[in-house]
Amino acid sequence: MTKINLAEAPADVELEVLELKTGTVARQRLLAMGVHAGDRVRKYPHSGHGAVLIANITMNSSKLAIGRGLADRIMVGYEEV
Amino acid sequence: MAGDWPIASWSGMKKFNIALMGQPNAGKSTVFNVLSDIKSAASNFSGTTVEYTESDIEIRGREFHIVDLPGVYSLNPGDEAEKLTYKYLTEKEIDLVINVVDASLLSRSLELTVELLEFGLPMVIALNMWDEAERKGLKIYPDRLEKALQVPVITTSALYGKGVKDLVDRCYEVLTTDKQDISPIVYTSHIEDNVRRVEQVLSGYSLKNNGSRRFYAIKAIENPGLVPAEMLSIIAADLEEVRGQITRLHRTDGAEAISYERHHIAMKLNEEISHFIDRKEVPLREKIDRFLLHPLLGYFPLLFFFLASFVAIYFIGNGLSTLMDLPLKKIPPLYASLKGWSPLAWYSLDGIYQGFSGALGIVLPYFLPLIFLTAIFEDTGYLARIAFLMDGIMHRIGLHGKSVAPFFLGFGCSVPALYATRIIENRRERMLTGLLIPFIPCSARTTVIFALAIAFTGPWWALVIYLFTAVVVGLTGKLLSLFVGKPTGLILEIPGLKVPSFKVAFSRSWFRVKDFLKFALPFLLVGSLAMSWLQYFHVDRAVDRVFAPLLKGLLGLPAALGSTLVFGFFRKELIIVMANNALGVSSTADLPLSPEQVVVFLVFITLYFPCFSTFIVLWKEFKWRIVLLSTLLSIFVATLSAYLFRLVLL
Repeated sequence: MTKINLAEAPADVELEVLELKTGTVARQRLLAMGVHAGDRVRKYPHSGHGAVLIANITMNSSKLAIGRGLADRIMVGYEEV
Repeated sequence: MAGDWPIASWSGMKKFNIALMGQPNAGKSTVFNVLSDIKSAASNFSGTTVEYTESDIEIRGREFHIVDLPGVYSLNPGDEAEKLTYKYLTEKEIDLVINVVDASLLSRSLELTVELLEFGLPMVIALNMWDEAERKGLKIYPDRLEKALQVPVITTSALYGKGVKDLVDRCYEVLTTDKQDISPIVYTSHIEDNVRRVEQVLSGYSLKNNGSRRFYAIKAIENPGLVPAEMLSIIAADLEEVRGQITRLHRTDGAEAISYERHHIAMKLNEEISHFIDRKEVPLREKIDRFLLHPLLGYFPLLFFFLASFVAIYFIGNGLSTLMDLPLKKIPPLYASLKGWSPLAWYSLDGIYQGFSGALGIVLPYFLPLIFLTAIFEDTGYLARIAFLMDGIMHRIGLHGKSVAPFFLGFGCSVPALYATRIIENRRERMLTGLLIPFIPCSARTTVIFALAIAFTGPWWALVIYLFTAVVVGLTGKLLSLFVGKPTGLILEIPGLKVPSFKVAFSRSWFRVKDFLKFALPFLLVGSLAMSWLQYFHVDRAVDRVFAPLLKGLLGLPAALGSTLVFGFFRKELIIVMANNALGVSSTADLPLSPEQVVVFLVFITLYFPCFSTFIVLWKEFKWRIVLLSTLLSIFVATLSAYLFRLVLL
């Protein structure tokens, strides 16, 4: 499994959330809004600056926009094909 | 709705208090709208209900007080709106909670449901957006949920009024029969043991707030800051041990451990009560959404909608204004003869007429299309998409995407926009957004901009002023952010796209128009009358003299416009009526101003000062230092900007 941060992770690939390395407040917010370690998420294509957009596949929830600074600190993993 | 039930003699009985609670976008406000006659600001953007809305309704002759609380993702409040909900839930008298759950986002929504069950108030669950869940191919068994949680579960599609009568019936049943017997949801054994240990210590303590001992025991492990100090002092020794033990076992803190527990309970519940029967490939809505959210292509619809709104407001406003002008212009000749034998009577009548015609002929025609379009945008969920697209740009001016919604609402009115800043968790960004909102042309200023632009310069100058205010917001934001550090990260839910309901948009617009007529019209009439009297007694000249160095000396405008600025402080839409009145003309087109002077004047009045209501709300939300800063900042920015325009144009 390739480990990478969410900001740099490829789009349209199933990613597994491995760790939320954010501060306590942001982590609590992410957990409440439905991003947990172990969840499978998919990232939408994005421009490279600005927020990252994900959809949580595990929870079938709505899309979530995460600022780039935070996305840098969310570790995800994916299987390369 | 009340008419469906026989009226019983309940007079003098206790009024039941019902609180609507749920995650943002679950449709609480829509349920509330159906339940009551008043309309609260329901929209498809996280956190637009930032103040709670209340209403009294009657069921079977008995009075019920319903409150629509701002949406919360959990009972660990992050922003000001969530704090308000938590405070209300723990401190106010509540007899029943209606937990509005978005059925299409069941798994995540159930985490809050679990927490509300722990809280321990009688509860009824409204599985809302039932139709949306079916459309997504999700099959839910409400009876299984009811059995698992032992609370009534009713399926609703509040947008179409479906299921709300059943919901009311079940609430009535719960409230008028014996106490609900909710057994707590049990956590994994080692966490459960620790929760029970803290709960046990609290057993002799008499609770002063709403909420069960179990709830506070869990909260103490999860987020001790939310537990009353008195309670915390009783459990302090045990809590330290318990939290230490959880950290050792889970290699994480109490907050995360409890959060994961709830997450797993919700996931398990979700699996038990629902399954997918038909997972469609990529539905049309998703394809549209991919386009709207595209990092490059997404800016085209954004630009298109902005320009389309601008053109629509311009043409509809202009058309309505012309239409209203025809009958209104026939009124002044009727009292013209009065001027000869009683000038004071003529001035008084004319003052009232100017206020009346200004409200109906100038303000309302532009206000109507603007509020209608705002309502449509809020409903579709596009506002959240704009926030996502603009996040990168907003970062450059020291903010993040969440400030976009308050800014957008600012085009309607600065007051709800300032309230909407409560969705921003970070104080720094909230304050910055609050300072920048008064620079955004609200509907009152839009009216003035359009009316004067149409009469003198053509619509493109209105656009120039709009774009200029965007530059002002950007530069001021950048400048201010230099003093207050870097912005924090954005976490924003992008709710599903919805087809806007024109019926809902119409009724919400009508509600706001009524509000405008009720509050602004008397202001316009009295203000205009006062202005006429000031002219009659020549007091306006003294005011004009005070402003002369600024207006005439620095900006090259007629000094007579000075008194209009004072009225503009009370209501910005008064400016145009007052300008006509001050310069002694009945039609805006007759104002003795050159097109260049109009542009300089418009730049100044768009930026010069927050209006009276904005002033009060700024005070309420951010205290006096920010009010003072906002005042000085806006006067400085307005003067500098208008002076620059004068240098270029005049």
